[in-house]
Amino acid sequence: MPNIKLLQPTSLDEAVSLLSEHSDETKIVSGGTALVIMLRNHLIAPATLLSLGRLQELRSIRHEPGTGLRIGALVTIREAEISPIVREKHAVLAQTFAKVGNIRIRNAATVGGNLTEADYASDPPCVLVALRARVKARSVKREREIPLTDFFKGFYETVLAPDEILTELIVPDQAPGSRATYLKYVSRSSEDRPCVGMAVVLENESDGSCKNLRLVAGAVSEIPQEIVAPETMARGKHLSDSLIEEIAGAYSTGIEPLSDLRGSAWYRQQIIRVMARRAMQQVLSGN
Amino acid sequence: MAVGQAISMVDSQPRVSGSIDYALNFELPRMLHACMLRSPHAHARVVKVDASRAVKFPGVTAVLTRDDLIGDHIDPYFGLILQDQTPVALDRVRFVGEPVAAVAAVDADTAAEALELIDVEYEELPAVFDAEEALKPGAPLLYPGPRRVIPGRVDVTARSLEGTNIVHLFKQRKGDLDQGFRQSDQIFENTYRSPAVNHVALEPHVVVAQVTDGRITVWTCNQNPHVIQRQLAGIFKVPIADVRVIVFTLGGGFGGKLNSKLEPAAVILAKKTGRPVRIAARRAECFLLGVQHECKIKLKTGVKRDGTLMAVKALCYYNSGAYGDTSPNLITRGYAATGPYRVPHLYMDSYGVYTNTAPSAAFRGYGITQVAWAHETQMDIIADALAIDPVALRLKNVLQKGDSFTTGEPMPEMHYNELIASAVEKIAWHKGPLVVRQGNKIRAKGIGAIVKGMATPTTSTSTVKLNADGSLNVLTSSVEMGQGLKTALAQIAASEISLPVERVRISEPDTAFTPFDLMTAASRATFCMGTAIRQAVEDVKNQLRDIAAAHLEANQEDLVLQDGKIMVRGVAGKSLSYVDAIRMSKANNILGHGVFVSGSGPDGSPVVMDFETGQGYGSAEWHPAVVVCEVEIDTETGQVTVPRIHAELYAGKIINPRLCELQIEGATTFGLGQVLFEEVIQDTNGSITNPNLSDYMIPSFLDVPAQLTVHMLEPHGVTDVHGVGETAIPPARPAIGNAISRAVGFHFLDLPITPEKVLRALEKQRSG
Repeated sequence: MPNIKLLQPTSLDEAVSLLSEHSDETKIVSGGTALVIMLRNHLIAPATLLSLGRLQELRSIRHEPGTGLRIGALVTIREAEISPIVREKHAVLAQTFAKVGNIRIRNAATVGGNLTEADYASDPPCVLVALRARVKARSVKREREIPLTDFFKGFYETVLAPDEILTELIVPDQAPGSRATYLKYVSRSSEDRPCVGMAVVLENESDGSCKNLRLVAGAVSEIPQEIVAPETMARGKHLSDSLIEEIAGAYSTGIEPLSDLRGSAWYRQQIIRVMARRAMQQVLSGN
Repeated sequence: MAVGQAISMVDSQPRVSGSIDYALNFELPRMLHACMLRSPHAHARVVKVDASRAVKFPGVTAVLTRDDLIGDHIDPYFGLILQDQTPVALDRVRFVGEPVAAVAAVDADTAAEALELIDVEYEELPAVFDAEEALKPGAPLLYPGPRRVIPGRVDVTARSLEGTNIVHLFKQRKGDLDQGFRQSDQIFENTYRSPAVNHVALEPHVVVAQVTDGRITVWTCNQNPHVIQRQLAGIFKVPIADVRVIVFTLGGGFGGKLNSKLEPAAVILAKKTGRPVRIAARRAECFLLGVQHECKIKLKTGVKRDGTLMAVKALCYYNSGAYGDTSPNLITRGYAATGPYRVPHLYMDSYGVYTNTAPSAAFRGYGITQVAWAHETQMDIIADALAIDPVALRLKNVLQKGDSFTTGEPMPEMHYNELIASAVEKIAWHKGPLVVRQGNKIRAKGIGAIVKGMATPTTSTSTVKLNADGSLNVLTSSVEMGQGLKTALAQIAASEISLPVERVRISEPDTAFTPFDLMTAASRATFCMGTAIRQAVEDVKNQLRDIAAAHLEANQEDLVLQDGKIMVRGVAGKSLSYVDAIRMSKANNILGHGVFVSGSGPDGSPVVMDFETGQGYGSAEWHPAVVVCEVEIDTETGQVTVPRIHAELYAGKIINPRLCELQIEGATTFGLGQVLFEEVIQDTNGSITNPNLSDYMIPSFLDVPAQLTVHMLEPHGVTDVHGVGETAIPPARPAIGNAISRAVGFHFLDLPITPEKVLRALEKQRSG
């Protein structure tokens, strides 16, 4: 791609300032697993590529008491997957990252790139929404935090402004006794993107009744789908098999899924119900 | 003895260290890069092609348009059997993606950019995408003009098919169909569909062409270098001697790299520019260069109450797409539409049909894959209806030695009794029920059996060169494409000359030096080229014997060649090394030549089938195979997994058991992907919507069954070599399909069997 100008800033300050100068015609590249395919297929034709590759400051994973897990945007999916801190603090997240693409993709793709690409058929977004994670974004003018519940706007679209760079993912500590799981359902090859992804976070009262339930489906619509009504059905109750079935049913009918090569809307509806039920059963059984 | 040993591939080191030279990595100084402009219409008249703006684009060196195909210097038509292709379209485009022009530039991006500056005016024509539709009166005609058949193909009745979309029609008539149906107790009638699927070789199609003093050289990843050579000589009206085709190790072929594809365009651009020109297909273009024939098969089977097959009427519609390519030959595989079973009364029509879809090509399994899906599913439907065990039904009807095939020929040793017995033992078919339900999981077993022929007649020739130091060069035009052919041929040559495998080098094809071979395809190379090499080595051995007989004062027949020495039988210490013999010959090397024409059936009769009845002989060899498997179905999602699968093949003499196993494991996995999810999808305008490896799925390592096993039958003392590279795909598809159908209690007739189809079938049953 000889006609594309490549910018390789070495600091975040330099990066945001370069971006503010070139923001009209610039695409940001980190791992490049999605962007290069788009370039090669002429889906995008940026005049400039801004590479974040040299920004060492975006490569750390740490845990900050009171804030939570902080993962730099340039951390690869694989690094996050095998990080002892991620495994300790949010095992579900490590398990989710392990389900992305294949090992070759995970070694190159980054946590920040995955979120900013906003591909609907991706594993991490629904899990991070369920975990109430947020991201930090920087521009020359400001730094802000955006909850992931507000981050995704549509197909390949986020609320990030053209001059903003996603710098960090923050995953708050979960309430004690809270449990989470993610189920990835594929309808074709084992290495396919999800047909349906289902994240569940369950927080129980000390008596075992449900305090908080969050179910978020991925890959079924433009953006991760969380349906509030079924979640409220669980509040204050013990999750019996029949209640779980009822919630799963209400949840699946609350979503209008899309159709693609991985399954029709009808099919996704069935799978959403099954996966919602299985995900709830799985967190309850503690597996 | 090297033959029969599971030695590692002779090129295993460079394979794993990444140092194999693939054509994709080949570069020449001053090399240009070319891209093709492709038709956006499925069927249209090309009114105007104006490249004047593109020619002026900075970085562009030349543009190829149809204007370059006119004149005495060129005959633009080529094709494997019917010459219906041109390097770019002349007056008509016949599928979305057909080349209309090509640009050569300093780099591929510049070439791609310049494509947009070529003005093409089309006048759209009605298009037809379905083979059966294309046969109806009034269907849009793809080739209204006269047909060009390459000289010597007497087996193609092209003339009589002019004015239709039929590429070729192969018929079989045997016995009395009406009588067969009258004698039947029950008749089963079903239509089976297989979609187009892609080869997905890791290495895309790529060619580099150079023209110097009118002499053409192409480096290409192709399975039939001599066919390319002949085609290019024909197109450019030069002697065959002036066309040099060089082939490196291929990053996969699977039938998708036969026949000229990008080569003629690359040569024209090389001629125009005086510089080497490279064309590398993008992944999406690989889907336009050949797919497995989409196919519809209508089977009507008459059966006695005890399961005896009486009569079959089979109509096979192979969608050839826009080019004839290999279809006139491939569709004769309709001869196996009844499977490996005795059927006294037969009526079979097999059509290859032109449609406005991307051209079909040879594909591992070569036409048998499609009929196997039909006949093996039909067998299970019959077994269910008659309440006969599917294995028992097959054993009752399966061809035995001497039985008459659909061609009327007496079949050689078929071995199905042994193959089926061994396979069902492996899967514990007779132990416990065939269907087991546990919670939301259903497990079920399935079986598929097939018979596959081999391309006949074909020719392989080889020259071997025993060097002054006693090492051996084998000059062959057979292509290594990951199947391990170099290793197998080295083992054959080493065994024959009695040298260690390390002393033998197998060449890569280079038509300037390596002798003729028709193609590396049809599971024929180890058998046909192996035989040619044996003959060539025998030629060398005879010369060594001549020299040694004089020197050792012994009779030729008393001489034994072993471990690099010629010895006199029964006389200890009296010997002559190969090295000394070569020195005495003063020739510095000893050349041997081998020519093998595979043209006759197992009993020596010539392989030829009658036009009107399909009676005669269909193949030099017949390859029997059986696959059994167990599938597990999630009844809530319809998801299918295949925890175990076993392939059982007749292999004859095995050259390298491990490489055979690997070939069969690969073929089985191909079959698995095709049953469960592989499908080239086309929109209503004839445009392929999933020509990439995110939207078109192939199996990953995680999809490979946890228990994937192979057993090959190699009777004691057998000498015949049987190809094994393709034979497991055709039975794997129905074996898996039959297991799924058994689990669900519903027979799926159309591939692929997606989880959604399974769930819909389950839902339908649950709702009564």
